[in-house]
Order: sequence, then structure tokens, then C-alpha cells
Amino acid sequence: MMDAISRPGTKRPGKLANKQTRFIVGGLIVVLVIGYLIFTSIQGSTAPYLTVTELRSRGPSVYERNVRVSGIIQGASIDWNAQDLLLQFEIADEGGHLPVVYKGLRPDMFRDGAQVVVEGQYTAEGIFEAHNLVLKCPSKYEEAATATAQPGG
Amino acid sequence: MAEVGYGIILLTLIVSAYAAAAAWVGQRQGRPGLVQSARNGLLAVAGLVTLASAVLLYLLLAPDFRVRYVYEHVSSHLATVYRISAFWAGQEGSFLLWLWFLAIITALVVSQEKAWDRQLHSQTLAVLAFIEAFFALVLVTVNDPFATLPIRPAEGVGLLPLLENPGMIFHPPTLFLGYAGYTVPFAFAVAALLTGQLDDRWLRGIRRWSLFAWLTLGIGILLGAWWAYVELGWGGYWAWDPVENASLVPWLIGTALLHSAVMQERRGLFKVWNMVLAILAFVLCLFATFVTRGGVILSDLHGFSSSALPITYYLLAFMALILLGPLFLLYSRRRQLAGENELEALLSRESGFLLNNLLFCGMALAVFLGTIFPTLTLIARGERIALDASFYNRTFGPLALVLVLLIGVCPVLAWRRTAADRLWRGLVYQAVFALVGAVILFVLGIRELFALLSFAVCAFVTATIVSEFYRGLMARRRIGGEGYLVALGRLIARGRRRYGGYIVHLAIVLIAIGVIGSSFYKNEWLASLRPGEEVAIGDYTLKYEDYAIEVLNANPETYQSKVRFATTLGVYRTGRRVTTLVAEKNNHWVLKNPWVTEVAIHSSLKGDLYVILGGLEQDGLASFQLVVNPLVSWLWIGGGLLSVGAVIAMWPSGRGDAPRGLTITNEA
Repeated sequence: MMDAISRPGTKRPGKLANKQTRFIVGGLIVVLVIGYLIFTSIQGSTAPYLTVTELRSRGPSVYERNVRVSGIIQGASIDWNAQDLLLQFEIADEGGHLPVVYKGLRPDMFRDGAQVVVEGQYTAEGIFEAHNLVLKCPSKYEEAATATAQPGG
Repeated sequence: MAEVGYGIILLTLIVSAYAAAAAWVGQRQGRPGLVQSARNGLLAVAGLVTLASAVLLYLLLAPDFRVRYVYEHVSSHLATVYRISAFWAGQEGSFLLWLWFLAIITALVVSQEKAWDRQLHSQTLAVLAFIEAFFALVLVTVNDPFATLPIRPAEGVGLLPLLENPGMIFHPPTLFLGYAGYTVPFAFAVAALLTGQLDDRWLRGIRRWSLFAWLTLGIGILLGAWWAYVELGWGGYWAWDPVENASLVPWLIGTALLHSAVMQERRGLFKVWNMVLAILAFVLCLFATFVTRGGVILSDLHGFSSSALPITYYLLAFMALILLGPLFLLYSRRRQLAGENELEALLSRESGFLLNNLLFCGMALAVFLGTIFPTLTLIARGERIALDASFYNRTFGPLALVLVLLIGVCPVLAWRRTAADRLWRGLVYQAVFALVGAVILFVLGIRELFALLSFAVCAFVTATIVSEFYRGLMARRRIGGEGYLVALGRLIARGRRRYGGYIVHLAIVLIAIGVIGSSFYKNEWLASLRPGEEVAIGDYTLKYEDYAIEVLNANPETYQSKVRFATTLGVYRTGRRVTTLVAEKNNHWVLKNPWVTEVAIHSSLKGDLYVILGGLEQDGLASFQLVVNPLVSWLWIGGGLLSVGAVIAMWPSGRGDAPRGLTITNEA
């Protein structure tokens, strides 16, 4: 960048057309590699989740396999053991209930009626051992929108 | 007072619409008087929007709860600084802030007119005025910050506790400054297309603005990451959330533009491409707002609103207009935009820039696709399927690594062509340095291949940049016999763009080191402790010393009302007390999701100790999640260095920016 103004080299007709093909081919290869990378990553990163009903209907075929299950937290079933950091609760949908055990902190947005995706393994005892909880709460920020609907506070 | 604010915005709409029309017609029909009145109009708009912002600020500070926006975002418990930051806590205020920045920037562009670019400049002002008019229209129709309630409530709702954080004072304004900044490259590009002045003038006009927008947007993103890290309390700074992604995409495109503009300046190449990037960068800034405020693309973790609001349609229509219009113009002008030179050799600086642009656009595409993927599957298959973080790690990660490597190779690549042996001689010491570094790290226990590779690339790039500085320094000393510091100072001062750029690249390496360290070597522990008990994690010992439970701001009830659960921990390292941390959890009982965690962080160059309080029982039994996050502070240090480098590169040289052929200047 010693000289931002002058441009060395001017266009010469003729043989240069061949040189350009090399760049087009080279550029295309890079583009294809990036495209391939994105495409394969999409396939590897979409873990669909089951509903409680679907999990029950599949039975033993999903035992000891890593699955994600979505459901609604049942408030009455929440049992939080602060000493052992053990969170036990049930999730449910129209088709049934699923008891879940999770070792870890109780998430901030964990409450009755919240939608949760539990990730982990379904055991033969009918208990789901979760190693990850994702609260599908619309948003922490949404509170603002809900509050605006009820002025007077 | 609120009515005055509304009146001012209405006037802003009228004046900016007039300015757009006057500048456009004035330039077309060659009537300088009309253009001059447009210019005056734009200066007036800057004054008007400043006044409107002052009115909103006054209403927030008063606070006047009859104004809906004030009622929704302020409570009497709120500290003054957060009453000010409430300005941009909501949608209406954010749009006003954006318009305010845009009006100030436009006024600066008005004052920057040079004799050689009068035609282009007039149309640029027309485009800027048109965009100002759009924002004013949004404010007077669907996003009025001055709307009032039928009655005056005694107390306000208050600010969301998550936004009551220093990060939220600086993050949104910096981001909006970046968004507003990218209007200028867009306006110049469209003006060039409208007037047919398709030489380098428009590029000269935007050079500093595009760097300014790039810097502010980048720092805005980094401040957002910092806010997420200290406030959201899950132990990380980046979650690949749609809202974060949406601000990253224009920044990546903007980075591509910074580099490809050099290609046009130096070699007359990439002319159409530069136009496309300048247009895309701005459209993507609007897209980011669309994601944050439009309610169409929702994330699992945080989307700001769940239903399509009127603003959604305004933004969609406007985005379609400002994307398709310029692209149509670009298509019709394509013949005038042929490159002046050809790419010559595969081993050349040109190839480096080409690869750089493909990689940046590839990264932008990956992040963009990931962001809209749930929406795409909803349209195609009727259900939302989100991509998890592994998608970004697999795509963004490797592409970013190749890009960082390219930073280290490019300075050695000459323009037009580079002989392979010269390239090898230029890089062999750096490669050896990187290899030695990798071996040392391996011996120290770094065994993950990707981490090792990434650290080696960082070492390689650092070595290249340092050797560039060293060569320049030695040349100055040889010729001028200057002392080291004087020589370094003059070296940078005489080649601001070059050495400013190197400093920015060095900052990117620091940020990369922070990202690699914290993504590969993060460690977590769970602990349940009673007061007086200790736990050992990594090099640290934590002693849970004390706790407190208290009610704050109970009357009147607002978002700031809370039960505070606080724990005090003593942090020891090799038997010595290092610091005391207070980890809290607050129950804001008014909120639907009442729990807000306030993490405690002990930061050092080596890494952060990050303490999350999970719960605190009445008897003092507390559950903690303890995280050791290596090298995170390097991210923030890198952000600081990046600002320094960018400001150096932006600093006016005092020699004007006239395009080639009009004034010939040489830059160091």
C-alpha cells in the first residue's frame, strides 16, 4: 500500500483469456468447497426432537440412544434437591407424561408450564436421564411485550 | 412536551423528503440552487432530530409516565444512567437513536463535499435524505416514541433487569452507529449508479466511512458478547443466536468490502463486486433490525417479539426496494463496470484478496443460512428445524482459520505475481516459529489437533506481522538514524493505512486466541456448599463464606423490585487469597420469568473464574456452577487493540482523498 494511486499493468488482449479461466476454475473450486462444507454441516446439525407421545410409541428402539424430547413442564412434579443438585420433574403432552432426571443447576426459566427440550437417554425403567435442558421460553426479553399489554401497574 | 417531540419528527419527515427530492431534481436538471437548499434541509434535519432526541431524554429523566415509552421502560427505582440507556431499550427509542446517528452522519457528509465530486455528492445526499425520510416515516406511523397513555400512571413498569447492565449502556448505541455508518457506502454506491460516475470517486468517498462503520459495528458486536458473558449467566459470550448472528453478517460483508475496495484502488478490479458488497452491507444491517424487531425469525433462546408487527411490513418493503432497485441499476450499468486489469498469476496478492473475499462471503452465507434455516424449513416442511451450534463450529471455524492463515501469508505476496521461492524465503522463519510454538504447546499438554493447529496459525501470523514492523523499523533506522521509538512512531504515522491494518490484524489474532482457548478448554464443576465449606477447582480453592437474603425496592412494585439472594466467596490460589466474589440471584417477582442470575467473575490474562449461583436455600445451602474459562480476556483486549489500529488507519492524512488522475499523492 505504498502507492495507492498508480496501477501497474494494463490490459493486454490475447493470451490473458486463458489466465482468467484458471482464476474462474480456482474460484469455483473454493466456492464448491465452501458450499460442500455448509451442506454437509446442515445435515449433521439438525437433530430433530420427538414429542413425549412419539417417544412412548417407539419403546425399546430408543433405549440408551441420545435423543431430544420436547414437552411441557408439569409444575406439581418438580422436585429440586439442592444438596445433591438433582432436578426431577415430568414433562407432558396430549399423549402422556415422561419422568425426567437431571443433574445440574435448576435453570432460571424452569417453571410450571414452560416448554422444554430435554436431551439425553430414555431408559428401560421408563425414566429419561437428561444431560441437557433447553428452555424454549419465547424470550427473556418478551416480558416487555407482555407488560405493555396491561398498563396501570 | 411529548406532542412537541412528535411535531419535530413530523417536521423531520417533511424536510428530509423535500431534501431527497430537491437533491435528486437539482442534480438531474443542473440547478445548484436546489441542491444547496437540499443541503440546508439536511443540516436542519440533523438539528431537528437532535432536538427530538433531547425531548425524549428529558421525558425519560423527568420521568413523565404519561408517555407510553417512558412508562414501559423506566421506574422511579431506576438509576439515572439506566434512565438514559432506556432511550434505546425499546423499539421506538432504538429507531430514533438510529435516525439521530444517521442525521449527524449525513450532516458530516454534507460538509465533506469536494469540488471534484459535486454530481456524485448531490445524489449521495438524495439517497441519504430518502433513507432518513423512511426512518422518520416509521417513527411517525408505527413506532412513535412520543405516544401517550390516556391516563398518567403513578409509576412506570421499569427496565428489564437484564438490560440494567453497563454492557447495555454501550452495546446498542455502538451497534446502531455501525448500522447508520453503513448507510454512507450504500448511498455513494447508489449515487454512482444513478449518475453513471462509475470510476473510483465513490470508493474514495466511502473509504473512511466504511472503516468507521466496520469499527463501530465490530465493537458493538463485541460489547454485545461481553454483555451476554457478564449478564446472561450461562458461562459463554456467544451462542450463535439469531440476534447475534444477524449483526455479524453485515460485519462480515463489510470486512469483505474493506478488502475488495483495495483491489479496485490498486488494480481496477472487482468493480461490480464492490458495488454489490456496499449495497448488501446496508441491506443486511436492516435485516439485522428485521430479525431483532420484526418477529419473523425466532430463536429458541431469544427472539424479541413473537408476532408480525406493522414494522415487519415496513422493513420488508423497504429492504426489497433498496436491494432490488440498486441491483437493477447495477445490471443496466454492467458494461461500464468492466475491470481495467486482469488477474495474472495464481501466486499473487490479487489471489489472496480473491480468496479473502470468497471466505468472508462464505462465512457470511453460513451464518445467514443458519439464521434463516428454521424459517426456511417452516416454509418448506411446515416445521421449524433449528441448526445447533455444531453447524457454526463446522463451517465458520475452519473458514475463519484459513482466513487468519491468509493474514500471515498476504504481506509476503507481491502484486501481480510472486515467485514461489520468494514466497518460501519470506515465510520460512515464521513457519519455523509456528512449528516450534506448536511443539512447546504439545509438550505443555495441548493435544487437540484443531486447537494446536489454530494456535500454530496464530503464532505464524504474529511472526509475519512483527517481521513486517521490524523490516520497516530497520529501514527507517538505516536511512534516518532514528531511535527505535521515534522510528516506530514515524513508520506508523507515514503509513497509517498499512500499519493500522497490521495492528488490526494483530488484534484479530488476539481475539482468535481468546476464542480458541475458551472454546476448547472451558471446564465446569457443580458444587453444593454450606457456609464455611470449600471446594477446589483447577488452580483455585473457593470458600463459601457468607450469604444474605434481602428484599429491595418493594414499593412501588416495578421490574426493579426484587428479592436478592447473595453469596460471598473467598477465592484462594496456592494458599493466597486472590479476591472476594459475590454471586447473586435475584427474584423479580413482577416478571413472568422472575429469576435473574448475576454472575461473579474473577478475570486474569490466563483465564476467568466464572461463578454462577444456582440457588440459595433459607438455611444457607447454596448450589453453584463454577466455570474456568481460559483466555477470555484476550477477546476484550483484542477489541481494544482493534479500535486503536482502525483509528490509526482512519486518521486523516491531511492530503485529501481525490481520486486517481485528479491529484496525485503517494501514501508512505
